[in-house]
Amino acid sequence: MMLKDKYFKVNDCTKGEGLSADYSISLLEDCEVYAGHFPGEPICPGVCNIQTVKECMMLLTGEKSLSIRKVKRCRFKALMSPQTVRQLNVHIDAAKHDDGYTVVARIYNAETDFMEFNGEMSS
Amino acid sequence: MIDYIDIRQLIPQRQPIMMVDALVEADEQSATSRLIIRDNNFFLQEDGCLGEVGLIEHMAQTASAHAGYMAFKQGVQEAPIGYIGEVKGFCLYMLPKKGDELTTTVQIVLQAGNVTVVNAMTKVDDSLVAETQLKISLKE
Repeated sequence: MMLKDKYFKVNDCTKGEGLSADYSISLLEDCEVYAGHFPGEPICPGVCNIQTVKECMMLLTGEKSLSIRKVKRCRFKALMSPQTVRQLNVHIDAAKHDDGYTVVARIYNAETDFMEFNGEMSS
Repeated sequence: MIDYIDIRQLIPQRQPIMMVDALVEADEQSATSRLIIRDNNFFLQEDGCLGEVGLIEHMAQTASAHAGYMAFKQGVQEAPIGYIGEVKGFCLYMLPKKGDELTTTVQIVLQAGNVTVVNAMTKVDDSLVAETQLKISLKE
C-alpha cells in the first residue's frame, strides 16, 4: 500500500455489522511528505487522508487494489498536523453492489471531526 | 502562453509532493498546468499508475499555482499556502500511468474572501482523465 506504515499505522480495528469498521490509527510524524507539505510547517495533506480511507477499505474488504471512481463529496473540516494530532479514528460504513462499493467514512478523534468522505470505489 | 516562471515561485509545496511542473496559461478566471508523471512520484502505485489522490492533489496545486500567479503579478514574492476544503463531484475516467503528461485546466466558479471554488479537468493528450470541483481556502 502507498501510505500504510509510511504516513499512518493501524493500531486496532473494531468491526461492526456488514462492511463497517472503526480503525484506530497513528500518524507517523517522520513521513517524508512533511518535507514538502510544508517546509517547516508540517500539515497533513488532505489527499493523504482520502488515501488512508481507501487503504482502510482495502484492509476491510481484502481487495488488493481499489480505485476511487467517484467522490460525491469530501469535506475537510479541520487542519491536522502530525505534531499535534497523533491518534485518530477512521470509521467506515460501506455497501457492496455490482460495480463496487459505496463508501461513507469519517476521520475523527475525541476532540475534532477532521474529514467526511462519501464516494464510490471499485476493484 | 505565459512567460516561464519557476513553479516554486507559484506554489508553496516542495518535494516530494510538488505535483505541477509548470503553469502554461493563465488569465483572471482560468489557468492550465502540466505535469509529467515520473517514476519517483510520491503518489505512484505499485501497478505504475498514478493514484487518484495524486490526481486530486495535482488539480488542487494547479488552482494554487493560479492563485500564486495572480499574486506574483501583483508583486507578491511568496507563494500563498492553500488548503483543500472540499472535493465535490470527482469523477475518474482513466488512471494515467508513469510517463504520461497531464494537462489540467482550472476555471474559477466562485471567489469569496479567501475561499475559491474551481472546476478542474485533467487530460492526457485528448483523453479525459478526471474532473472535479474543489473548494480551496487560502491561508490568511
